[in-house]
Parts: sequence; C-alpha cells; structure tokens
Amino acid sequence: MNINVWFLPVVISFGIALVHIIFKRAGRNVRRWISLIGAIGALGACLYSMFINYNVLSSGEILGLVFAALISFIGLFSISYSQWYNPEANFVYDGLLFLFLGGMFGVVLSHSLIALYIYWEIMTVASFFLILFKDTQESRRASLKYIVMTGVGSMFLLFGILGAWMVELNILWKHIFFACVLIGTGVKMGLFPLHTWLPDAYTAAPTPASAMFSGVMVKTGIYTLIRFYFAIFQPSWSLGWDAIMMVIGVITLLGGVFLALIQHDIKRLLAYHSISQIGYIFLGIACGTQIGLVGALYHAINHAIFKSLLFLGAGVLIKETGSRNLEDYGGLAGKLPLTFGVMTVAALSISGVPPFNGFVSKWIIFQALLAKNTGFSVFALVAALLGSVLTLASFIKVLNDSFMGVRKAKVSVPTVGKSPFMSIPLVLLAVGCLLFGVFPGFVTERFLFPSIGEYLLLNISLIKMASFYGWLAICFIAVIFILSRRWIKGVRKTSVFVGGEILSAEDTAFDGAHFYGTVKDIAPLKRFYSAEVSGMLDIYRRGLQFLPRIGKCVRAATVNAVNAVYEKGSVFLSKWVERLRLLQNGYLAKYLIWFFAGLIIIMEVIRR
Amino acid sequence: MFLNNILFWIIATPFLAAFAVKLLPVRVAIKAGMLFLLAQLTLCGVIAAPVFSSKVLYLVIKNIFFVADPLSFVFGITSVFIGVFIYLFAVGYFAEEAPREQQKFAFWGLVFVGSMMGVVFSDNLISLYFFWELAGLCSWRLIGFYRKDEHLLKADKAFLITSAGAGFMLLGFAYIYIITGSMSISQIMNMQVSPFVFALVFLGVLTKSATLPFHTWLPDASVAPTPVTSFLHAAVLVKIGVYGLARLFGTTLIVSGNVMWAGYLALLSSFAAGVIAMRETDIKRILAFSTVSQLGFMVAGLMVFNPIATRGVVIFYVAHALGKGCLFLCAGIIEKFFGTKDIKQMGGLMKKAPLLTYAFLFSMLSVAGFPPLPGFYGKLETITGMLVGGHVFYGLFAILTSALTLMYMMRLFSNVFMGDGMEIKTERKGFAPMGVAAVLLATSSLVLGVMLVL
Repeated sequence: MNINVWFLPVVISFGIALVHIIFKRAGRNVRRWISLIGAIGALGACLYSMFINYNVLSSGEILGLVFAALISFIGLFSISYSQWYNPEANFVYDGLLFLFLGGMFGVVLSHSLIALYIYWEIMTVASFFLILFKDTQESRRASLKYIVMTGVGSMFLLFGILGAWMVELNILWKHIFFACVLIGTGVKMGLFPLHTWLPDAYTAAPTPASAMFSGVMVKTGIYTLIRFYFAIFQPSWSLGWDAIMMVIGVITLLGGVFLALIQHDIKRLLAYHSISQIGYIFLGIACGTQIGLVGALYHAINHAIFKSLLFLGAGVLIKETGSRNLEDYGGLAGKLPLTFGVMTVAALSISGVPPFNGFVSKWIIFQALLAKNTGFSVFALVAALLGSVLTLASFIKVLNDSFMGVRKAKVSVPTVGKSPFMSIPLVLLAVGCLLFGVFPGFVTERFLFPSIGEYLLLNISLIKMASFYGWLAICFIAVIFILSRRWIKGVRKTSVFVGGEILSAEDTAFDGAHFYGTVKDIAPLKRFYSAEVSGMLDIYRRGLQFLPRIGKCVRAATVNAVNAVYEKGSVFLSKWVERLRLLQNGYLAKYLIWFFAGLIIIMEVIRR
Repeated sequence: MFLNNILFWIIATPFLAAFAVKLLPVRVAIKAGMLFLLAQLTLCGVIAAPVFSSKVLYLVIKNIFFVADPLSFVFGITSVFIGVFIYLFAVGYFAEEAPREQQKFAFWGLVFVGSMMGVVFSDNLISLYFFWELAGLCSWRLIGFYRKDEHLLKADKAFLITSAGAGFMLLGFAYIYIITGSMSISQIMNMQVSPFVFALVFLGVLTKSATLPFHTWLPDASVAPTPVTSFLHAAVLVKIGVYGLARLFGTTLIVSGNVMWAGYLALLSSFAAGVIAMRETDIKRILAFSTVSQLGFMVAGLMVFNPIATRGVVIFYVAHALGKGCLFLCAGIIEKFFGTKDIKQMGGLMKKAPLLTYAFLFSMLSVAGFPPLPGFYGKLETITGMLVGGHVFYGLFAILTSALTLMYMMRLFSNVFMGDGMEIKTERKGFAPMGVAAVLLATSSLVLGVMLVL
C-alpha cells in the first residue's frame, strides 16, 4: 500500500485550513477557489488512493477508504454550497470547515486507535467552533451542550480503546469496555438516550455544516463502532449485546421519527430524522451478521447522500424565506422548481420508496433482520417498517407545507439569486440518490463486500432483487407519466364559495402543521412528547441538575466536615493548653519546686 | 565539572536573587525577579541536553548532595518556566499596589522557587525535608499576603496542615534511615520498606498535595493574590508532594506490602473534588478544587508503580502546570475585569477579550485531556499504565474524573465567557503584561502538545 498517498486527504485538508489562516486577508473569490480546489484535491486523493491501492488493501482499509470517499464527496458539495449560502463567511469559517474535514479523514484513515482518537477530538473541537460560529444565544447553548456530551462520550471511547488494546481480560471487563465504546460512539451517532445534543447542534450550526454533521460526522461514529464490533470485539463473544443493541436501535428509530412528526422547525425535523435513520443503521450492525453489516454500511452511505441533500435543500428554503419555521413556507414549488424536485427525490429516498437508494439499503436491513430470526429481530423489523411509514408521513408534511399551497405573506425577503455553486451539488446528490438505488450492486460488490472480509454466507441475489424492484418502480412511474400526459388534459382551477362568498386561497389552504398537530394528543405519545419538551429525557440537562446536588452533599461530607474537625480540634487544644498555664503562675516558690523536681528526675536517670 | 557548577548556580540563583531584590530599588523588584528567573531558565536549558542523555549531574557542598536527573530536571524547569510568566503577570497585577508590597512579593516568590529547586535537586532526605518546610514557610507568608485577619487564618491553616504532615514524613525518613542505613536517595535505590513507613511519608505527600482528608487548605488559600495562587497550584507548592512521591516511591524505594488503599484514597479525593467543583461559584475556588482533583489523579497514577504510568504522571504534571498556571492567570485577569470572583455575575467576555478566551479554552481543554494538547498525552499514558498494571478500576475512575473535569470546566467557561455582556471595568492599567503572560503560557501548552505528537 502506498502510504504517501494514503494520508494525502488529511494533509490536504489541514494544509488548506492553514492556507486559509495565513491568507486571511485574501479576497472572497480567492478564498472561494482555495476552498473548492482543496476539496476537489481531497476527493481526488481519496479516489486515487482507492484506485492505486485497491488490490493490496485489507478489509478495514477498504472500509476506511469508502468512508473517506463519502466524506470527501459530501465535503466538496457542502463547501461548494456554502460559497452560495454564506458568501460573507470569514477565514475562520473556511479554515474550520477544512479542520473539521481533516479530522474526519483522520478518523477513518488512521491505522492506530490512538491516532483515531486524536483525530476524533480534533473533529469534535472543530465542530464545536462551527456550531458556535453564529454566536447567538442558541448557538452558544447548543455548542456547550455538544462539547460536554461528546467530550464525555469520547472519554468513554478512549477508555474502550485502551481496554481493547489489552487482551488478557476477563469477560466482565470486556463487557464494560464494550459498553464504553458503545457510549462513546453512541453519543456521536445520537443513539436514543444520548441524542439530545443533536437537534440543538444541527439547528444552531450554519446549514452547510449541518449537512456535513448529519451526512458524515455521525458516520465516523458508525465507522468506529463497526471497527470495534467486528474487528476488535468479535461478535461471537458479544452475543449478549445483540438483543440490547436491537432494543436501543428500535427505540432510537421510533423515538426519532415520532419526535420528528411534531416539529415545525425544518432543521430540527431533519435532525430528528437523522436520529431515526441512525436507528436503522444501528439495527443493521446489531444483527451482527454480514448481510446486516452490508445493509448498515450501505444505509450509512445512502443516508449521507439524501440527508445532506435534504439539509442543503432546507438551506435554500431558509435563505429564501428567512425563517426556519415550516408554517412560514408554502407555495414555493413554482418559485424553486429545482429545490422542489431534489427535495422530493430526497424525501422519497429517506422514506424508502423504490427506485431510490433508501429503499435498497432498508431492504437489505430488513432481509438481515428476517434472516436473524430471533424474537427481537422480528419485533425490530415491524418497528422498522412502522418507522418507514412514519418517515414518509413526516416528509409529506414537509413537502406539503413548504412547496404546495399558497405562499404565506408573513415573511418577505427578496428572492435569492441562483448560483451553480448551489445547484450543481443539489442535482448531483439527487442523481446519486437515483443511481445508488438502481445500481446497488456496484458499491456493495466492489467496496462493501471486500470491506467485510468473508462474504461466502451472503446471498447477493437479495441485493440484486432490490435493484430489480427499482427498475420495476421506474417502469411503473414511466407508464403512469405517459398515461397521465395522455389522459389528464389540464388542471381545472376554480374558486371556493361559502355562502355565496368567494374565499381567498389562504383561507382554504389546509396547513400540514395543524394536521399533524393532532399526533401530539394521542394518549401514549402525549407523555413522551411532554417529557421530551420539558427536558425530562435530556440526559445533559438532568445531569446538570443532578451533579451540583451531589456536589453539595459531597462538600458537606468532606470540606465542611473536615473543617469542623479542624476548628473543634483547635478549640479543644487551646482549652487544654490554657490549663497548662496553672503550672506557670509567676510565684518563685512554685518555679523552685519544678526546678528541684526536674533535678531529682534527671539525677535519677543519670544514676541508672 | 562545569555542568556541576551550573547546577549549583541553578539552585543558588533564586536565593541570591531574592536578596538582590531587597537591595535593588523597590519599583523594579518584580521585573528584576523575572530577569533572574529568566537567567535561571537559561541555565536550566544549558544542562538539559546532558541530563536527558542520562548523564546524571552531582553536586556536593559540605556533605549535602544535589543531583539532577531527568525526573528532577523536568519538575525543576517547569517551575522556573512558569515562574517567569507569573512574574511577568505580577508586573501588571501589582501595578497599583504600593511598591513595598511588590518587593515583598518578589522576595518571597523567589525564595519559593528556590525552595522548589532545593526539593527537586536534593539527593538527601534531610535536605529534601529542609527545603520542603522552607516552601511551606514561604506559602504561609504568601497566602496571608495582605495581612488581613481572615487571610492569616487561612495561611495558618495551610501552614499547620502541611507542616504537621511534613513532621510525619520526617518520622518516615527516620524509619527509612533505620531500615536502609542511609539518608542519600541514590544509595537507597531499590530497597524495600514496609507499608507503615510508606504511610508515614504518604501523610506528608497527602497534606502537601492536598488530597482528601487534608485538602481543605488549598481552596481556602485562594484568598491570596492571583500570582501567589498560581505559584501554589501550578509551579511550586502542591507539586512538591507529587514530586516527593514520584522520587521516593516511583523510582527509588519499593514498598513490600499492598498499598492499594493509597491510590483509592487519591481517586476518591479526585472524584469528590470534581463533584464539588460543579457546585462552587467562586472562580478561584473552582480552579482550586480542580487542582485537588488533578492532584488526586496524579497520585493515583503514581500508586500503580508502573513505569508507563509514572511517565504519564510526569507528562501530565507538566501539562497541568502549564494549563492550570494559565487558568489562574486568566482568572486573575477576569477577576480584575469584573471586580468580582462570583461566576454567576459574569458573562460575555468572549467578544470583549477573544485572545483571553482562546488562552482559557485551550488551557482548559489541556487540563481536561483533549488532544492534541499535552494533558491528553499525560492522561493517556497514565491510564494506559493503570490498565497495563491490571488496575482497571483505577482507569475507570480516572476516566470518570476526566469527564467531570470537562463538565465543570465547561460550566465555568460558559458562565464567564458566553452569554450576554456585562459591565466591564477596563479602567485599570497593567492589563498588557497580564494578558501576554496568559497567552504565552497557553501557546507554550499548544507547542508542547504539538511537540509530543510529532
């Protein structure tokens, strides 16, 4: 393997970050091209490395390279998009993006776990500053929460890494170390009890950065977990974890999607969907079988594509209306046809509709759950299917609220200009959604199977079948399209009358947000929602309330008690010392008695 | 022989400088002290190469041995290095004080550094004890610097606790002499002592490095002026305990029994102090409890008697000294900015002092153990050593404490630097040297981290 090429993406990213800091006074155009050339260079380095090293790589290295390529693609698209989105961003922002990219490349390309951890923390600190970048009250809170939760998580990861490095351990400690790894990576992935930083951070960060967070940063957690689970902790001994991981996956999946249903903030909604999709990936890993792993990896790749597409599309909406609230949108389809198209593709993709990529990977994960055939896995399968349906329901709300209906007059912001920096990434990502859905065999056979190692047990035809369904769906859509062109002559538009009065379009429009508002009142979900809103489930906020209370008790037990001992002791001592003064009352006769007594004692001692 | 003479001058410079600042005009006292420390730092730099090429330097003055080996050298040079920055900081901090006060600080600070030099380079248990107590005496004078009644009480407390511990330690030294027949550290190498002797010496260490039952003097000592607290926490006083433990039981003597309890006590102290720091609202007390927590971690790292862990503790000592020194200097600046020590009344410093924010943030992350800052390497090696030695519980505790460190540090950071802006009194003069000192310390922390990674 050519080691010089191997770390080129890391070197390029850090180098470009340094260039941005050095040439901080350079013009906007210069910095834009530095960024783009850097991102393209990193992408090229990844692909070149993959090309020249392909035959000599071990399975783990292929896995790393697949993730590196994914990171460089999403990174390039986000950086290109951010040239349109925040053109006024300063050198700090550009430098941070590349520092962040370099950290992620380092995580997936390192050969040593300690190096992985170091890059992991570089990534954490860079993303902390990215969340902080807007410097509003919201972003300050979110970044703080982010750094505390992920920082604590990464310390657990470090402990897991050190534990994995020690081989001679009994099984109990191995379980504890695995739990540490799971906590460490789970915080980064957003597994359910540890997910609470994620909606806040995604909402507060600049949109291109949110796309990178959701698209690829979360994936580094998945990469690390897979490396641990399959390479270091063998699935054979961790059998007991399958059921636990599956339950966690199901909770993450359903919790994320149920919380997404009631959101009005588009970025927050996407963040909760991100959690839910991580649940799918985690279910795939939890199967512990090769097909499950292929499904998880493929879903990770696909999720990166469609979720970053969704975030970038949401960024267009935010830029257009100046608001993140879904209720402020409406009727934007005519104005933003490209965004409408790509968002529809992404929404169908995330809901698992053929022929898009989300369907294929979910299909593989469902197959894996079926093949596993335990009680938990069948339960998980049902939950996963339900999750898919709810995802679709939630995205219909998004599409309806933002693109259909009438334009709300609340927000009036001048229309933003079009730019190839924005449209090319969107189109390419949408094309990616389709291609990965129609030709799943290319990535899975060429990159994912080798990265798992042995794949004799794997039934490839299952995946081919997904491709078949994709083609079927395309044919179906094409037929409907052709027929509809022939049969439907045109849309009839007419006014709405109530009591002879013509109602305005705004009055008759039905708001998706209100329609889905009823979900909140479903009996079992009501408590869940109120708990989440009030922060009951927020492990960070609970911890911040809980720890100072403990601190008060500990302080009483140690500091105050010890101080009391010192004070009482000194009072006691001085009282007794006071009594000794009786011996020293100033009369010569008494001193003479002491003198003679001492003399007698000394003489007695000397005599013996 | 030339190098041995340099070792003599390294130990003698602070004491000579202390008397020199008494003779010099009072206005230049602190600046002169800084220059003397710089000279001393240069001397340390001269002997760095021979010391690290494992050429041990000996110095004999009238039967008292002084030895420079890598362990003592690292502890010594770190104190001097931080001492220089503390003096630079003090130039600004004491700018509005009476010149006589400045001279007093310069004098006692130099004696303080000198006693640290004496402790780390002593090859003789009695001379070690002598300088140990000298450091305690200086700390008594410096904690009660303004001679107010409540300050004097705290100073008395610190001095009484540490010197009582030192008395037990002296008893332990006597036992070591009875067992081994020698007071010279280089002659008692690899000899066995009983856990009882260890416990006696460990009492001295516990009191000096502020571990659980004897830790209360350290937070109370934060009433002292900031350069003094910085000296206490980062450069000189509490690190003497860690050095003593590392020197006597980390590299020299072997304890013949099981002394796991000592490590557990230290870890308990570390954890308790971390939890208490979540509750405190006085910025200097938070940092003081943080020091107690980190010291507990270091003592626990030494208690596994593993070379990897010992090396990790030494690295972490340097990282903590740089980081905590900078944090205290920042705290001094913040205190002057806001005119209060209560973090509830602070906020929004980030926009007003960005460089200070970064200095604080990086030092804080270094102490909490974030790569690529040096604190990470220290923690990494220490915890690795704990696990390799089979003390997995120690490792788990240490990780939990690190997590706690991050939490209370971020709490402090968010309260002071984030949030809405507050009224800031920027009328004071002397911010320039204070800011420069803090930023330079943070930079040196970063540079050390990058050097360790390469």
